[in-house]
Amino acid sequence: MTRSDSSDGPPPFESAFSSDDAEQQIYATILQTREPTAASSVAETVGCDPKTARKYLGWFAELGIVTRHEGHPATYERNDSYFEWRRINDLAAKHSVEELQRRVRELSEEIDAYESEYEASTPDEVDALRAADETADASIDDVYADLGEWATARRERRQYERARQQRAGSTEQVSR
Amino acid sequence: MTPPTGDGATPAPIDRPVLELLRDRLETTRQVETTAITGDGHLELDVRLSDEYYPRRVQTASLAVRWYENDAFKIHYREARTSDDWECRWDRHRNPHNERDHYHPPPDASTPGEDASWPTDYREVLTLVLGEIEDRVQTLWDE
Repeated sequence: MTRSDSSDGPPPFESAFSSDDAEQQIYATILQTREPTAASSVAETVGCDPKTARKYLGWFAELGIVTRHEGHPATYERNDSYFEWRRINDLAAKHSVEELQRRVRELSEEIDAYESEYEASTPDEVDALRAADETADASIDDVYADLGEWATARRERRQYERARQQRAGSTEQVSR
Repeated sequence: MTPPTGDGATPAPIDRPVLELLRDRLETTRQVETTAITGDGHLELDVRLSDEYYPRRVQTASLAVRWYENDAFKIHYREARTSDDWECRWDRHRNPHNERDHYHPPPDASTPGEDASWPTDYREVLTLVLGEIEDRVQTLWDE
């Protein structure tokens, strides 16, 4: 891109999502479908034919990306365990047992620090408003941010630990 | 470990699949230079905007996206400049007491921020944010 005239300004931004086809839009929609939802409702969000939505949702259900609940009508939601499984496999493929172990340790230290700072064993035990009131230099935003980081660290640790077990298990089998 | 309750009320972890989809879509656009999901420290999607969109006095412009499984989010835009940085932030907090959408204005994206109302869909939120950044870019050239 070259700019010849300073009054022109740069070209407009490209839209990140407008070139998605129906399948991509349904996939993107189901990623945020956290409660069982009918295909007709997904179709409405996407702006496609309910038949098209049912076709792709059925396909995603076969792949395990989506959980299908039988009923009239059948409902669909994102299958969190699929994404968890995919992430754990990815970690186990890309890192050594030692690397995974080190990351579990780092995350545990981070989690321990939150536990002692907030005197609680999980982030959902913390009353964010009260915690912000009690801490002189922390705003409610800081507390929200901390609780999200803490929940994320717990999730990450679980995934790294499962990947470590998976990796350690497969190494044992090979060496036997 | 407790599974996410889905009521949007309890603190939730970062939603990595959502970040991955945003990464895949954003990196194909002309205005984005690089994207990366960073794991060290804060888990977030870091988006570096293309220098070609900015006048020389802006050294780098970047966007850090955190999206949580309860659909809370925090999106931070920052221009590193020769003199001073310019930044702003859009966020949605969720907890049992309330739900708050905020825009934290420049120069320092400070709290408490202005009340606002964002769409639910993560793609619509990103589209809104990118639209505002595009307006900002135009302002930079008009200055």
